[in-house]
Amino acid sequence: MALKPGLAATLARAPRIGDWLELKIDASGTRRWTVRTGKVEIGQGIHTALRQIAASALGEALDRVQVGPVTTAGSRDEGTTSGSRSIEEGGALIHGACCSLVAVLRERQADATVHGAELLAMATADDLSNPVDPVLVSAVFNGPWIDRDAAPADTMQKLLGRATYVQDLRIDGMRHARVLRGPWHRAVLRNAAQVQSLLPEAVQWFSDGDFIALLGDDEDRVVRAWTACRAAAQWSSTPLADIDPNDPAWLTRAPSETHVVLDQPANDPVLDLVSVAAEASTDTTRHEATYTRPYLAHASIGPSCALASRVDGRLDVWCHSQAIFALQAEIAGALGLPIEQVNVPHVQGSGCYGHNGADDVAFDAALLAWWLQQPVRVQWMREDEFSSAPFGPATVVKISASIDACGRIGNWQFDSWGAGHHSRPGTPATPRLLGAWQREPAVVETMPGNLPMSAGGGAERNSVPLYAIDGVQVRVHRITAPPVRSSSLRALGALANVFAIESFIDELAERAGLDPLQLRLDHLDDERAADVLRDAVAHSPWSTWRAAPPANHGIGCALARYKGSAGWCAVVACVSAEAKIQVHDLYISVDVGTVVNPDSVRSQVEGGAVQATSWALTERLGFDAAGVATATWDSYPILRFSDAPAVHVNVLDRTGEPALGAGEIAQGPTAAAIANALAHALGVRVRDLPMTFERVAQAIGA
Amino acid sequence: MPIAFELNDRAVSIEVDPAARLLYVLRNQLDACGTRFGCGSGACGACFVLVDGAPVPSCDTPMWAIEGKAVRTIEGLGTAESPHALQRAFARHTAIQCGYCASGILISAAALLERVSDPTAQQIREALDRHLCRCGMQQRMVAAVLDAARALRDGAAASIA
Repeated sequence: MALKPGLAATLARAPRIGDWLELKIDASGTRRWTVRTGKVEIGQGIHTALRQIAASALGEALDRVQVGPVTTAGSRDEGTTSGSRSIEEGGALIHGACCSLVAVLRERQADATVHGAELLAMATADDLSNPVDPVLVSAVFNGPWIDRDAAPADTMQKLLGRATYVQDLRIDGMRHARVLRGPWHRAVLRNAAQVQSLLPEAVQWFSDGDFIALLGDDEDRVVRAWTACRAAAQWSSTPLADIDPNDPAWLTRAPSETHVVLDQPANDPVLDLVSVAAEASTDTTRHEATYTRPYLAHASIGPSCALASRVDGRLDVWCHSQAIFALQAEIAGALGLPIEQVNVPHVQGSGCYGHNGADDVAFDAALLAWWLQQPVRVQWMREDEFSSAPFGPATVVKISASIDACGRIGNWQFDSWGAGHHSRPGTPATPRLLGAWQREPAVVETMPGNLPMSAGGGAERNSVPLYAIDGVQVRVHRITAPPVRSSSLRALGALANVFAIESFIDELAERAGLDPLQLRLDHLDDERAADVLRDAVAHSPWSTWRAAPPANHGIGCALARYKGSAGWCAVVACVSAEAKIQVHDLYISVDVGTVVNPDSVRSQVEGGAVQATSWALTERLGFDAAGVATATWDSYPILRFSDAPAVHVNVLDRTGEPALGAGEIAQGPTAAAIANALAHALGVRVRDLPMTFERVAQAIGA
Repeated sequence: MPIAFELNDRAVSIEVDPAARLLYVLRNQLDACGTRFGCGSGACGACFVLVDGAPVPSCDTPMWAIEGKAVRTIEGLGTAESPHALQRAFARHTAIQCGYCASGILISAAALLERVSDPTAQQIREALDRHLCRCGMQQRMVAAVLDAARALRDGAAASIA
């Protein structure tokens, strides 16, 4: 199997075993291995999985393998840690490097009975200068695994409250900073002089263009000053006075660019006829429905934070970015520095779930440290994270399709409208960093785009149904100049698309008087998709509930293959709709190929499903004339302990198949399964996220 | 005037602005950064500490309010050599992903177990309902607290026997 172009390019830049793996032998002769990956740990467990891959490939004990710090100065550029590609790509490189070393040793040791620790004992630092064999990089890694369910090495450290996060870093002479930004990301402070006059002596005002920061040695004082300044601040007007970015009417009418994702004409000419007359004469029913999702926040528990220090000509920026190499280039570009002068070490932050304020706060800190020539720690406030960070964009999806008397779905037409899902750093000439847009000389704000289809697309992600349908047209309309920021939020377009497609399949089944499970199975050529669906159903009370659910309860299912090319996931949801909407149980079955760490896969799927339940039921960013109306948790409720569903995850055994990521496979199917279960419980359908009690009541009343 | 209080069973006296919030004093002056900043308004639970045994948000607790009181933070719950039963159980269940919310949740769970030695899952959910976990680990955390409660009861029974 040939290497994917991205992997081949990474390997060309770092071709030696030693680029990926370091060996130190201590005084007692004990081997210690360090994996040098460019993939960052963001709470998803990737470093644990990489340790397991390396230990297993080497035949070494897990505690002798660690993952080295990920920095632009010392690590390999493996691009962004995103899109559920880290196991698939990052894992393959580490596996290939480790297997290449074993192959080198094996070549020297003809005696086949020498293996494991005895073989490894022959390894010297010189062996690591051998090249990584590309064939071994593309080999499937399937164990035998060491410590399968190993927890991350730092789990107890975190539970003991030890310094772990970038928020906990302290360096000598460090100053505490807060940025002063308004309710809209480009809002300009109109009464700067008045606001500045509120500052106590111990707090310093810094401004560069429209960028304003407050600094001091005492963090508490800086925060109090920030609170006072923000209360007194008057901000410029915004385009949001005339636009509600969540409004479907605006979303479908705003200027947009159309991307035809798929245009596959129907083979059966009858299905190609959409006129009412034709439908009547062929017993074909045509159905159309429109679904929406609002702008959503990443809503990390810990707001973004970074620390920067300028020593001589060099700038170090500790941050929790998922894209440290691209960020390094953009910081250098924005400050006009040679790239070698900027080093960006990654330090864990609070979970980010996509592109939150991590990159912006890193630039905030870099800018301040560079100008002030002092180490600066910038901690965004909760309000900054809600108003200044990029969001997951609102989307409208309209689907129409026919279903004939035999229950065959045809002539599927899919259109979506919304802003792009990608604004990550990666364009050094026009940095995508909020501070760079605000300061002087300002760079022009780049509008969010969508990733190419080869990277899974953005709004396009999961827009093509996985069913065998005669005639499929899929068009994605990207709003070219949205008034609010948007970027990757876990699962990207898959949330709206799978929610819409899988709701629509249930609606078609209902129109045709068919069983929604059978209708899906009848249209699946993909056996692995059918397998997860059957498995999730088999673990749930599907048949009993479908026939006779408890009063006000319902059950629904949904299915997707993430990105059309990654892991498969089916979800069966059990819900009730009484005084409130409650999701009781989620039965989830996943196929992610060969599994490195089963517990980590279950955890990612569980967490993804709970997050999607929260998106489905409660979350929506609000906007008003001043900007983002959501500033605190009071106006952005997320799911709490009382409302968290029981999630039952079953991971299918596909050992020997390529390993696939698990972090983003459950979100779309979970939201859709909840919608389908709710429709089953109530007999009416809610097509707008979040499916709040008010919206359900409205649907019943309609 | 210095403010005197007890921090994790040790007497502390510190010269500090009485209006300063406990969170920042813990993190920046008392070398106890396990208490995390989340929202600044007591709405997310990340900064919870025990003050005289009751869980409170340290992000909006001024220093004058803890004069003479006993404060317990995550650092005072257990040690690397001897973690608290809750810390052991959370590790056993791998009940965290990013872990940023964990300190506050462990603190509230510890307060619950002080009051109720045999809590139901429902009681645990209610006790932790002021805490947000964005990684979606609620189910694992509830299971871990049930497990820790059992371990503490078994330990107590063993020490009586």
